Formats: sequence, structure tokens, C-alpha cells
Amino acid sequence: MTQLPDQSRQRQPENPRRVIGGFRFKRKGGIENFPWHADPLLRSILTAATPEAAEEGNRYAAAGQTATMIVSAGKVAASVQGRASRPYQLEFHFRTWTPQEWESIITALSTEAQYSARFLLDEMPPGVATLAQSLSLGAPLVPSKPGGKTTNDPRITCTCDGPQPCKHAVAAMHILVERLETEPLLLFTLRGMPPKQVIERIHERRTLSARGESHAHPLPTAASDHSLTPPLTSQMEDFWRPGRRLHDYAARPAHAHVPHALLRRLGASPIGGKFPLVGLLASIYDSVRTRGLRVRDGDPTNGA
Amino acid sequence: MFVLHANWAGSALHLWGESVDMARGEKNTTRSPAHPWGTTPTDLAKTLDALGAGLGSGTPDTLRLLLPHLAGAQPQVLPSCKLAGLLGRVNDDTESLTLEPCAVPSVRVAAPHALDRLLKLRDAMAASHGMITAGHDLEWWYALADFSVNAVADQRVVPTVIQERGGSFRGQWRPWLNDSDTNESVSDLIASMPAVVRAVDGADGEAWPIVDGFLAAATDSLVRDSLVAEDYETSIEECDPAADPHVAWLSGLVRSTDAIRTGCGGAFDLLRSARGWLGLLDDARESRALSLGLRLEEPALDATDTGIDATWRVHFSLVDSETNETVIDASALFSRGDRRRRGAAQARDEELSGTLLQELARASRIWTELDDALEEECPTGIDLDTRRAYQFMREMRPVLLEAGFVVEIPAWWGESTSRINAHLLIDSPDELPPMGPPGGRGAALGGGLQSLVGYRWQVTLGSQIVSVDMLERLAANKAPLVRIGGQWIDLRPEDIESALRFLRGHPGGTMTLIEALRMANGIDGPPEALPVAGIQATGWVRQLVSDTAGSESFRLTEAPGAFKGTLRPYQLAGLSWLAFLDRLGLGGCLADDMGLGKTIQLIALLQHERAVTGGQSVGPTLLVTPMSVMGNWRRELQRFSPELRVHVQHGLDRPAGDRLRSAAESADVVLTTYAITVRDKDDLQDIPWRRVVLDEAQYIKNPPTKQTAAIRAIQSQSRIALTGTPVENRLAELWSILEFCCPGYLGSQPDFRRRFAVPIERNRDPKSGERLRHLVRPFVLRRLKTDRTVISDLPPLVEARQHITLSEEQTRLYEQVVKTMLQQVDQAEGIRRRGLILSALVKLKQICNHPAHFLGEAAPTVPAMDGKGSGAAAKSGSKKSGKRTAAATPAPTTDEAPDPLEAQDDLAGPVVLPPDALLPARSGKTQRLMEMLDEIVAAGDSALVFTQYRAMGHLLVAMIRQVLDVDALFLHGGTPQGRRDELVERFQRGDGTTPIFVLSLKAGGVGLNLTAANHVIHFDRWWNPAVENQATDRAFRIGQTRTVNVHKYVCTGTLEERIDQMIEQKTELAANIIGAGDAWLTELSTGQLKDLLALRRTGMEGGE
Repeated sequence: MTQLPDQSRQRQPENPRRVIGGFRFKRKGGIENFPWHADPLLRSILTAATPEAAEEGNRYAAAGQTATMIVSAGKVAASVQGRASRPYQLEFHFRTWTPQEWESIITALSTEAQYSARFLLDEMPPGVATLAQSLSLGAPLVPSKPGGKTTNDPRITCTCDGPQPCKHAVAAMHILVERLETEPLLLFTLRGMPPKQVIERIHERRTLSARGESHAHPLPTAASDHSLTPPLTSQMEDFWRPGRRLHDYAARPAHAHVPHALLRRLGASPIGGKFPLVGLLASIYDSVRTRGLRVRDGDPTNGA
Repeated sequence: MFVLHANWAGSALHLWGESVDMARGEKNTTRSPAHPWGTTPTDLAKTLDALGAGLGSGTPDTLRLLLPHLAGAQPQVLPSCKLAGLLGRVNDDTESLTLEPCAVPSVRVAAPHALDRLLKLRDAMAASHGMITAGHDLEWWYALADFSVNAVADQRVVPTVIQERGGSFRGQWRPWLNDSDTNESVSDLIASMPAVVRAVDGADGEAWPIVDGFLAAATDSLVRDSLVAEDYETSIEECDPAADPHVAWLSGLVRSTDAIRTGCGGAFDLLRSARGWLGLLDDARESRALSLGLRLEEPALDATDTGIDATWRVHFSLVDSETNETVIDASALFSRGDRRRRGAAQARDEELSGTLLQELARASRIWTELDDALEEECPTGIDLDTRRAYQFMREMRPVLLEAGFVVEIPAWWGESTSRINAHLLIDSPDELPPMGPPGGRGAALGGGLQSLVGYRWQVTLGSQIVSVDMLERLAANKAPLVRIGGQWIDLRPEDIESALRFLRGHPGGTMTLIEALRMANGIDGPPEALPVAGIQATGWVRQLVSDTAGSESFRLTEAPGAFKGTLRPYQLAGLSWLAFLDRLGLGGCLADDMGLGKTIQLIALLQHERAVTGGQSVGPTLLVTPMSVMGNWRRELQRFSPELRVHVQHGLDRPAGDRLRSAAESADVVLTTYAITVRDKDDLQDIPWRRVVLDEAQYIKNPPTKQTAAIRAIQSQSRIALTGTPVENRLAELWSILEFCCPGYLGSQPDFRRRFAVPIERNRDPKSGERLRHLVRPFVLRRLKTDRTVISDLPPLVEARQHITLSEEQTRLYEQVVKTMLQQVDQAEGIRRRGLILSALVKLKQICNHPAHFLGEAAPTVPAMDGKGSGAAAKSGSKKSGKRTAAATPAPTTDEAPDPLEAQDDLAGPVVLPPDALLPARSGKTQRLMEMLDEIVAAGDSALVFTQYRAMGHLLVAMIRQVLDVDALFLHGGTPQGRRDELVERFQRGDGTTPIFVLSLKAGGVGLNLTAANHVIHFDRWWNPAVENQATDRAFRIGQTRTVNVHKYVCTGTLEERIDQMIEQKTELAANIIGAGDAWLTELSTGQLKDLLALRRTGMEGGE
């Protein structure tokens, strides 16, 4: 019981504390032959780090010293167990693309079907990097300027307070890069947008250019019922008159008025805004009804 | 003349038109080269602006449409069917049509103004009867405009987010169309869209983008305008749209611009989450096999319990979405878990409970009380106190139903017996006012609508009458639902309030009948919040408002003895009704279907009142009819009631002033026309009429004309209108007619429009329709041929002659031809004599049909002999057809063939008829035909019209199009076989688009099966009844399910009538006639000829 602190004190200068269940870098090819989309990240951090930090980081990675790693938009947070009693907390802050930059790359990606097709297979076609470059975005697709300054990409912070990149950062980067190898689309997350959303937005953009617009409302089935409209050439004899079903329409009693029916069916907004949307919509619906009834009873609208 | 059309193209409304200078001929001089009836952009804007200020504003543009053209080396664009009708064009050759692009100048109205412009246009066009006419397509546009206004008024709009191709995001208000009944309405609108509306060049003929584009523009502009006007923008002013997606969305919804003010990443997220939210609405019932059922069980209480503290329970169940049958109750489902169910059964149960919970969660979005149930492990239902049970039934149920849940509540809910009701109690004597003392003149009638009746109001709760005291106690209680006498009553606070206010304000007393009836139907008096359950009356008022009035059990009288006819049971009921109203001094409108014998019922009434007074005169009845049926009336009066003294006020030598007065006073009936009534109005107004009767009362038009005013100004003790049109569906007509019969009853015209016409016609509001039906029921009696009680009385085939009076022009032409012929025949012999007779015979038949037929105006393609013939007549442009004389050169008629025009099979292309030829008033027959067809079409019936003459057929088709604005099919000797089959098929389809079929007797009289028709009109006569019967049998044959009415037109005083009588009386001569063509005529002596052909004046020929 009393030995434990001693042992730990003894071990501290030589080896880092062991982590159970940490991420272990166990790639067969070692740090060689990473694909194009992952390689620059690792290569650049190894170059930027001191040889000692690089070597030790490499060792840490292989020993599984990286206890946790959370990848979120533009940021990777990791904890790496060193010799100290507590793991070091480090963060990679990647340069994110601005909404305008994302808009332009998504527009560019949507012009070729291959991109979204490959994305759906979790692949990153090399063309994306070229495309990003040609659009002269604020940052390339693959980050390769690690360091501690604000101009770096990623900017590294670590609780070890040493010069960056520190060995902990090198260790964490090994793990990140290994993960990138199989999940290349994580690069999008690093640049600020989860791949799922990128794919959706490309899809959205593609329908937008196919149909002219995309919208939040679903369409009624009547919209796609082509049996309602025979070819014009079959209607030449009765080209000008409304069809018989206009009488059916006129004979169909109107929807009974149920106050705020649609709003109440919608229920609370899942959109996540703070403004009381549903409350305001309720008074909007009241105003709108008053106006609608006035126009219906023959008052002119103010539209002109 | 200007025909206006509308299209939706490039996100904007385009107004465009066809124009024609009627006086100058068919084409406009200032036409655009692309379209012979096109307008210049300036003309278009000017014409629209003349209609109303600003109606022509917009951007001048060019609209490219695909329009039907006549095929050929240089395809020729065809006019719209409205313009074709106005021009008198008949095109019956479909094979040669092709769809070609055509550019027309238009005024482009930007999307936000589209709705407003359409509504203003409609109002302006309804108010002006000028030179601008709405194309048929506008009718559809108006329906679409009303649809969007109703969507806004009923809060059936949703906000949405739209991303455009450019990437920008905007907010939009649009109608919610996905609920199944709305989707059906949209399907109706799409399916009925006129082809021209989707014929925009380059738009692929698709309908949805047009409907969608207009509806979104219309609802968005209407909603946005009202939000901007109320300054909703201030509510989000302080908020940052980039920080809050709700604010971002609102920024595109409540401001005058629709841009969503946030970064595009945020806008994109907004689009997606808004889609998820709106998708919840679309979570329609159809998409799920099982839905949640909510059954409200009322507490078991003893009779005296007021139920204020009772506990209700809502039980959950799963219901089959298709059949509405309960699959399993939640309690059964969860208790089953205890028992040992294994394998598939258990898996199934688990799935069911999963579905139940899912559905509960879905319902809890709407009804938050369900959240409590969801906290339980096995939710089977929830308990509610009375207040919450009330809220569930009144507020939650309609929304839950819309969202596809099945809600079951006690049956008494919504019944009028479970609410506070007001009843109007009217006291009137049991005895009808007496018919008046013998001695006639000034026979006392009831006071009519101004009769004073005693009244009281009574307020009931369920079956209990409640006092003011009790209401006050209930009001203090503030319980929305209480049990009174063992019955639950829905006590809306607003109902109690108005009941109290009402009882205090209306202690009772006397009022006029008109006030009472209007009040009982909720029009004047009690505020609408308090339902008027109706009228409870004693005495004669009870009979007036009872459901039985006009039914067979309502038989107050028998057929008068001196009446020389037999009344069918329903006619006897009609007579009773007329007599009943009459004795009360009330007017009414007898609106039976054509063919049910309105004439005979009215004649029976006249005879009846004589019988009641013991043969004493009760004062004269003024009977106003269209000129064409005056002869018919006289004949029928003579036939059924020969003892009635009839004075015909007609002709140039008709009496005036005192002479008219004394003629009227010594008559029972004064028969006259609408035109004479206007002309003699001063004299007629001085006579104390017993009653005024209008036949074809739809002649009383709205807005009021000089004629309407003159007729309304005639004072009489009672007024009766006869019409065969379905007045209840033609509201403007209904108002005009009742304003005549029961002045003031329906209120002022604008009031009526606001209260009934607009809600019924534009808003499809069933309640207003129901109220109006109730209101007019005592005064309008309309039986249909299809009514069960009537149909059993009717034979399968009803034949009647229509005795038609010649117009003045016809009379002159007829006499002139007879005179010339007799002179010539006297000096001729042999073949020449025969030829002269035959040709005169053809001419006389043509004159009976229509002067234009005789003068050759109807067939401009027939070459004129002297270069003056048809063309000259066509160009004369005179509308005063009465001035036309026989001096105009008649078209040549060949001597041998009875129908030279029928033989002309090479008539190709459209036949264009000059405007004068299309005036129905020039001929008694055509005028009558238009009246009859109008009623037939309005009643949803269909008719075959047979004529021997192809040229007359063309004329009729053109006239039907122009006057009735209905498309008529036309089959003649020149119709190719394929086309024939197509026409028959179209007519037999019976879909109401082509209710009239004109056929030449030779081509259409045999072989065809036309059972879709239930009227057969023989417009001119063939002297062989067998041929006519054969033609009649086109409709009257196996497969016919309705009574077939056969109308045979006969011109009074002419050879038509003479020969008809001979055939009818089976004279010896008739035997010769039948089957012998016209040859027998040629053997007659000049004296015989004169006897046969000369016009026998009856004093009723045109001459007014």
C-alpha cells in the first residue's frame, strides 16, 4: 500500500506512466507511406519538432500513451499521459474555412457527381485538395504548419507548457493521422464541417441546380401526379375552358376552420432558437386571418 | 370587343388579350402581325386601365404560347373559344389542328401583385358590362385566387425556407397543401386547368409549377403585407439573426423583403431543421398502418349530479388507419404481457407497444397532457377533470383529428341539443285568412310579408327551458360543461353571455313576418354566437315553415272542377302550395325542372281561385312572358281553362289607357311580353292587379335594367315567378327573382352578396349555403325530374309541342314570300308551277327557322347570285333587325332538293357567321331554343337538337356558343365517320362539358345511341312522324334511365302548324302527306295553297 507512491516517483524520470486502453500507434508500415491526405500532417509535425520530441513522441504513440482523443469541428482535444501523475491536455486548433469559403468549395464540389459519390464511400479524391487550392481558400485541405503560434495550422496548446510541437503533440498526431488514413473525410471536420453535413450540402446544392431551388416544405402528392394533365395536343378541341373538375372543386366544402390548427400540429420548434418563435407565429396567424377574411369579403388587398 | 386572358410565366402574371372590332368585321385593324386578333401593348394597357385605375400597370412584355392553329402551309392561329363564340365561328374539323408557337403582347404583373390584380380585375369586370370580356381561363384563375385567399383566412399557410439556385436563402409563406382533402382540391384545380394556362412555350405543359408559383406568390404577398402593415419587424429588431435561427427565419418572413439575414451555414442548418419541423405536419395518417386511438369515456353519474367534480378518462388504443377499427386497447396490450406469450406473439406485442408509445409521443406534441402518461411504464389512459375533458373535446379533438389520430367522444357533443339554443316562438291563428267575401274585387288577402305575428324568444338548455335567473347562476359558476337533468350541456361562456343579453333585450311582442323569418334564420336579431335552433310556430306560419310545404302530404286543395286536365300528384301539391301562399298574400317562385308542367300548375291556380269565390272575378292576373312562348300560353289557357277570359296585350293595335284598363278589368288574365310591359308600364301600373306572374323569370336580371324596374313597379296583391333554372345555384338570379316575389326578404343586394353569395361561391362555405336554403325554402318550390316522388309520376316519354310566335321580321318575310308565290303560281303551269311551290315551301320553312337562314346569312360560303346576297347582308351591321325587310336578296335555293345546303358537303374550314345572324331574338324559335337550352344546361341535363338543315345547324351551334357560352357538338352529312364516332363518344361520356348535340336529321336521325340526352328538340319539322320518332329514339331507347322530354317546335299560324294539325287529326290529306315528301303540295289548287300557307294572324306576331 505504501509502496505505490514510491514506485511511481522512481519511475517518473525514465518511463511515462502506463495507460490502460490508450490509443496505440501500431501501423505496419510505421510512419512511411501514408496516403497523400494524411502524410503531410505527420511529416510536418516531425519536421517542426525537435528530434528529441519527435523521437519520444513516436515512442509515446507506439506505447499507447494517448488516453483520449476527441475530434470536433476545427479542433482535436487529446490527453497524453507522460511522466507526471496527470495526463497532459493538449489541443490542435485547425484553421477553419469561413462560411463563404465553405460555400464556394461546396459549390465547386457539387458540379461533379464523382465527389459526392466518392464521399459516400468514405473516400477523399485527390481532386479536392487541388480544388481547394484553386479557390485560394484561407487554408489548404490538408494542414501542414503545426506550431504554437496563432498563425500555425494547427495551433497547438499543451499543459506541458513546453515549446511546440511537444512530444505529446507528436504522439497525439500519430494517432490522429492513423485515424485519418481510414477516415479521410475527417479532414472536413478539421476544417470546420462534419463530413455528413458536407455531403448533405453538396446533395442540396445539386438538387438546387437541378430543380432551381430547394425548400423546407414537402410537396403534396398532387404535385407529381402527371395523370392529371394529358398532353396539350389531346386538348386542342377544348383548349380554353376549365375542365369539369372545377365544379367538383367548387362543390367540395371548404376545410372547417380550426384555430391555429397547423401551428398546434407542429408543436414546439425543434430548430433550437431562443426567440419564442411559436408564440410569435400564433399572433402572426391571428393577424393573417383577420386580413384574409377582409380580402375574402371583398376588401381590396394593399398589394399594389 | 376585347377578350382577356391570363398566364403565369417566369414567376409573374401575364395579362393578354384578343381584340376584335365587331363593327368593322372580324379582325382588328391594329393587330399584331403574329396574331390576327392580337392587341398592341398600348391597346392592352389602355383597355385594362379603362376598366379600373392601375389595372393595366405593369411591364409590357411578350408572352410566347403554344396555341391551336389550323394546319396548313402557313398555320393560322385560331381564336379562343370565347372569341370564336363572339365572332360566330364554328370549327368542326379537328383533324386539321396543330399546336404552334405564337407570340402575344402582354402586361407582366410581378408576383407580389398578382393576387391583388386578379381580384381587382374580377371586381372591375363584374361591375362593367363594357367591351371587355373574360376568357374562360379567367374563371379558373379566379378559383385559384380564391383558394389562396381562403388558405390565408383559414390559417392554412406555413412558413418555409427556400434556397435558390444562386445560393441565397429566403423565407416564404405558402399554403399547406399536403392534408388529404386539400391535396384533393389541388388535384381538382390541376386537372381542371385550361390547356391554355399551361401552354406557355418552353414550359413543357406542366401544371404544377404554375399552380405552385401562383399560390406561393399569392399567399406570401397577402401574409407579408399584413405582417409589414402591423410592423412585426419590431419584435425581432433587438435580436441577432446570426445567433438565433428563429430570428434568422423570421427575418425572412415578417419584413417586406424575404432575404434570410444570416450566414449561409446557419441558413443551411435552418433549411434542414425547418424541413424536419414541417415534415411533422406531413406525418399523415396514410403513411402509417396503425394510429393512436383516444376514446373519452364520460363518468357514470346519477341523474342529479351536476358533474362539476367528475372524473373522465381517455383510453388509449391502436386503431387500423384504413378501417378505423380498434386493433387493440392499450390496457389489453399491456396486461397481456403478464401471461406467457412466446416467440412471434411476444415479438408482435412488443412491436405494438412500441408503436403505441411512438404514437403517444407524437400526440403529446399537440396535447401536452399526454406527457404525464408517457412517464408511466404502461400507459393505458389518462384521467381528466371536467374542465380538461371539455378542453379536450372542444380544442384538442379537431387538431388531433387533423394530425391523423382517431378520437372518439360522447355522441351528444356537437349536437344542438347539448348547447344553449334560442327558439323563436311565433303565434299565428290556425285559420288561413279567408279568401275574401264573394263579390270579388278587393278580396282580402293576408298581409303577406308585412303580416304582424306575435313572437317570444325562448332559451333552452338541452330539453329544458331556462330563465334569466338560471342563466345568471350558470354564468357565475363558470363551468364550461355541466349536467342538467342528466344531460351534459356544452355551456360556452360566450353563449351564456349572449343568451342573457338576448333575453333581456327581446322580451317579445309583435313583428312582421319578414322580420320573424329572417331572425329565425339567424340573419337579423340575435348575435350569431347564439345558435338559433329555429322557429316554433303555431297556426298558418307553422305550415309556411314546415318541411312539408310543397310535398305531397301538403295537399290543401283538389283540382278545380272546371279545370280541363288532370294534375299529377306533385302538380296538385304545387297548386296547393301556390294557393296557400296566395291566400297569405305571399309571393313565391315555382322553379320546377323543365317538363314538369309549371304552366299547368299556374293555370290550375287561376281556375282554383275562381272556384273558391264561386266563379266571381277576383281581379285580373298580369302574365308576363317572353314573346316566343306567348302563343303557347294562350293555347294552354284555352285548352285547360276555357272559361278564363284572356286579353292579349300585344300588337300595334293593342289598347292603351282607359281602354286597356277596362280590357283588363273584364279579363281574368292579361297576357303580355316583357317588352310590352316596359313600353306600356305607365298604363299597366294604374291597374289594380290581383297578381303578377313572370314566366321565365330569369329575365329579371341583375343589375336591374329598365325592364326589371318597370316590372317591379307594377303593384299587385301577389307575385309569382316561374323559372326552370336551378335558382338555388345562381345566386344573383335567386336574389333578383325573390326581390320581385318577396321584396326585401333577402335584404339589399350588397348585403346579400356579402352574407351569402361571397361565402357560398368563393369560400365554399357549407353553412352559409345551408342557411340560405332554409331561408328561401318557404318561398321557392323546385322539384326535379329525378325526385323520387316525382319520378314515379312521370311516364318515360313526355311529348309536347312548343307553339312559337313569329317575330316581326319573320312575319313580314313570311307574308311577302306567300304573296309573291301565289301571284306567280297563278300564272304558271306544270313543272314551273311545281318548282315555284317547292321553292316557296323551302323558303317558308327557313323563315320559320330564322330570317338569317332564309336570307342566306347563315351560309356565307354559298356563292351569291348577284354579288349582293349573303355578303351584303353580312356587312350591313344593323342590329335593328326589325327594320329588315324581304327586299334583301334571299339566298338562292335550288328548286328540287328540299335542302340545298345539306347537300353542300364541301364546306371546309371554319364557318364564320356575321353578328346579325346570331341574334336569337330575330326568330321566335331560336329565342325559345336559347331559353330552353339555358335551363337544360343549368339543370345538368343534356339535349339533342334536330334540324333538317345543315346551314341552320351551323347557325344554331354558333348561336349556342355565343349566347349560352356552351360548346355544342355538331353532326351533319359531311362529318367523316371517325369524327362521328368521336362526337358520339364525347356526348355519351356525359361529363357535362358538351351537354348539347346538334344533329342534322338525315345524318343523325338513325343508328346512333345517344342515351346521355334526356331532352330531344325537333327544331323544324319533317312531315313524317315515323322519321321524327326514329330520331327521338336516339335518346329514348334501351340504356335510357331518365324521362325523355320531346319538344316539337311549331310556329303558330304558319304552314308548320297547319300541317301539324292535319297529321295530328289524321285527315285524309295527312295520309297523303306522310311518306310523300313535299310532292303532294304541288298538286294543290291555288285556293288550297293559299289556305294552307297563308299566315293566320293571331294578334301575337311580333310587332312591339
